[in-house]
Amino acid sequence: MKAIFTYSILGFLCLPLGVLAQDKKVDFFGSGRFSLNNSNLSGKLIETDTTTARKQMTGYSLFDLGFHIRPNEETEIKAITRVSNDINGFWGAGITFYLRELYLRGLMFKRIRYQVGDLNTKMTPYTLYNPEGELYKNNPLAFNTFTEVINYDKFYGTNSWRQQGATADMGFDFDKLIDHLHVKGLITKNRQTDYFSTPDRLLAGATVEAKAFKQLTLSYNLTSVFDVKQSAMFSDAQFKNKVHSFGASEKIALAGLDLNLLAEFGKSTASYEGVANVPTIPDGSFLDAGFALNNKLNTWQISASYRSVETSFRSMGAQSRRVDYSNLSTEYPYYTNRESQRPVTILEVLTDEAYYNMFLSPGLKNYNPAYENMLPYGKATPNRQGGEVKLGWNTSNKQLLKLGADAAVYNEITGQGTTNLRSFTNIEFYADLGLNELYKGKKKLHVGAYMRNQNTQRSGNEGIDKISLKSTQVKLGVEYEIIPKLEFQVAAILLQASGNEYIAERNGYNEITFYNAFKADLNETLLLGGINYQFSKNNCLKLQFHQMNWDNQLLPNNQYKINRFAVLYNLFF
Amino acid sequence: MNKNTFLYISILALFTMAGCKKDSKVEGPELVDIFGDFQIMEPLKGSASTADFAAGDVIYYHAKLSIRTNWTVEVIGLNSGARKTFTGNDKDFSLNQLAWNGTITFAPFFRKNEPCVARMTFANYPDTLYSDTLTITAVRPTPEVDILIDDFESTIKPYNTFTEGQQAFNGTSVNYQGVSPAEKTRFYVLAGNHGPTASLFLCGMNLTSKISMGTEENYYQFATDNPSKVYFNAFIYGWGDNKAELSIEFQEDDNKDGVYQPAEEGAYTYRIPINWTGWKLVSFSYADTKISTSGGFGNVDRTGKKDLDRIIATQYLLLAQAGTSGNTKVGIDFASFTYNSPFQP
Repeated sequence: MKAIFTYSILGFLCLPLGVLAQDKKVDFFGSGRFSLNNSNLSGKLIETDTTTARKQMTGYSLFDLGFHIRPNEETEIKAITRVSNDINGFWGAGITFYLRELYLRGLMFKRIRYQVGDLNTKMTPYTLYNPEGELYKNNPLAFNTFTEVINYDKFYGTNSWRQQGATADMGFDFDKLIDHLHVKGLITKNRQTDYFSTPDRLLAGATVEAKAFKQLTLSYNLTSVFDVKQSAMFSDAQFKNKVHSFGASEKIALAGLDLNLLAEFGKSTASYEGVANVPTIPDGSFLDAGFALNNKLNTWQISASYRSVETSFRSMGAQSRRVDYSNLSTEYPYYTNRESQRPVTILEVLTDEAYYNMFLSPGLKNYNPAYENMLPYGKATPNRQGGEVKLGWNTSNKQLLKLGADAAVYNEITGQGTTNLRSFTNIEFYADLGLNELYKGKKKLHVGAYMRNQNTQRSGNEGIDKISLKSTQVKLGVEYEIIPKLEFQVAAILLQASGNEYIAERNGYNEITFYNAFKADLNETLLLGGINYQFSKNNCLKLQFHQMNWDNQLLPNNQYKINRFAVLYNLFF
Repeated sequence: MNKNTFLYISILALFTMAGCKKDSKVEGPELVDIFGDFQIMEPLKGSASTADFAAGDVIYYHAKLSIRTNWTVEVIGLNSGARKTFTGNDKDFSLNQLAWNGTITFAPFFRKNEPCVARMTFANYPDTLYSDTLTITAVRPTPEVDILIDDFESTIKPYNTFTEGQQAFNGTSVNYQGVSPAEKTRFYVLAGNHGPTASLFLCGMNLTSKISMGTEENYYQFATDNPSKVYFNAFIYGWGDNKAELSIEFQEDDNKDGVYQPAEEGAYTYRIPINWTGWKLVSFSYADTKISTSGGFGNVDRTGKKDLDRIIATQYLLLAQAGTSGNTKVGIDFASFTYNSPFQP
């Protein structure tokens, strides 16, 4: 078989090739940001809360300066430094200065691409993947800069996890059976040893992808997380987690239609070695199969998939969560005279990066069932089987109208604390309407709407194992162009949840050891009004007024409102 | 082959799944065992009515409940107010699980011939159970600590104190706001005032190892270099205002030149939110400390690891919990290091 080496144009390394082709040896890029939130607390809460300050001002300014250095045609160095200053840091007291990103990448032997240093790592949704957090879908455009800031600061990119290590990939072309074979490997450091009781933890991964018959793609992905023995001299413990995944996709052209068949299946193993009395963790497997169909003009799309993820399936690279509810919010972290931690609201989820996590976690972290109960760990959520159907339609002028509906039904595979199983249903509708396209107006007038209803049920005895939890999200957004570059934006997000659930407490081995009863009778409303001045595609200034109303009928005396005036200036250059 | 490839793969996948081991039907403990009817099946009782802790007596407490639920058992000295607390969620805790050998959780110490009673409360139920009275015929001898950092009895020891803004008190005291020391006659108080948007740091005290030991040695002389085998212990007084946080910092003179340089040498810290009222015994191993996160204040470690043999000073910082304001304070008494296990007076 005659094989021809070539470099691939797949994946994230396509960027450096373009960069490498540039003439300049050094160029500069970066970002600047100023954020100021001036908030006022009101509501029934302050009738009894005599300790929480009524007004808070938080904010910061920062500047990132990045360098692309190309010492030769095949090498590129990227470094970004950041200097930031808290709004309360006077006379330099709040200034931090650090290296935000550093890597070197290039070509070896004109065939192998490599990168060392900081990496954005991603494979498949079951092996290495950063699933979106709560409330991420179809948010009004008025929030988009806040989302961009969180994604940029936390390096979420396109569902990737930021790691430190090395990666290399290369491709082969064949003239029989297989058209192209692409091989990629990576190794990253996931945790730093303290030299005594906590060993180093590494993540190794490999992807082999073969394209055949022009349409068929077969792939194998492997992730392996393991502690390095003897890197901590007083610990013999070694955690290991491996996931093998096989995937296939085939694109078929039917009469006027594009059909894409997709499947992925695999298996996980997890173990703790060198520790006395550890449980044996069973292997877990998963299967995901489905199709996506659209017409040639792509004015309608339909997709369906079936998914089954066993209860014991463990994938540290895919089951780690973005939103960490144990973190404290930047504003009003505590409330009531008991100084209790203030519960997370949709305002924080959408705008406060303090809740966002950058680290892979070996355990299944807690989540808020009122926000997301069906797939809190993304597609790799263990103990789920079911399917979903997605429909989409848009006018040939995509700016005019887009409509869509998603429906999903899932069940547990294993009961938690009972033989009865939870069932989940999730229905979503969305619409995007460019009203100015309708009447051919020159000034943009856009309306977006989204509604989601999620329902969790489990039969059983009232107060013991019976569950009934319903949550509804409604999002509305309108943007109107007053003059070129200046938009008036209004938005509303409503969240209502009622019913009961049980939240599992897990030990260090992910075993459930206890349950806490969870009840909700929650109404959250976030209203927004403001203007957005778009200097350029990557440079905007937002002046907004937010009003957050949190009303949990189970804690009626804690109802509160946060009225916030927010300034956000953001620039990428 | 082309057309059928996907079909073959799908069939193979389904067979793979079908061949996999199926999950068991129930994960975790039974819900009925936690959320069923709550009943006291057997009352709280101790294994004896007298205890000679000096002779090594151990009292076993036992109760039996119909379900698992979060409970707290407190053994309270009726004269001294000393407390030993246990928490758990077992419904029929075996005798070995709740064994009390006369140690304390909250100072002061239990006294000779003192009557004690155990009280059991539940997080989700209003019931309260009391045991029969137990009389301590002899108290447990206070164990020796391996290295005494300070009992704060000296009135002339040169503590290095510092503050930011509205400091109220930073020194030793015999009786501060009606609070008596946990041990002997004096204890150390850090107190300060802060606004809601002020810096979280209020005031602090630094005690060098040389002054602590009263010798010419710059560093504590530990018998081991293993951080997981060395425990810091201290009685910490909380006023119950939930505003204070104590940061205990260990400064390492990485280059052993006798001077700690915060921009170049590591400092390891352990932060404790003060959310209780009374004297609580706090212990943690040196392995549990984290490197300082403050730029220029110990966040760079030349050796890259925890070096017990280079601890040149311990530092105690009173911090305000985020989002709080007003006066807050914390008391410290009898700070020490022990080997292998926490100090258990």
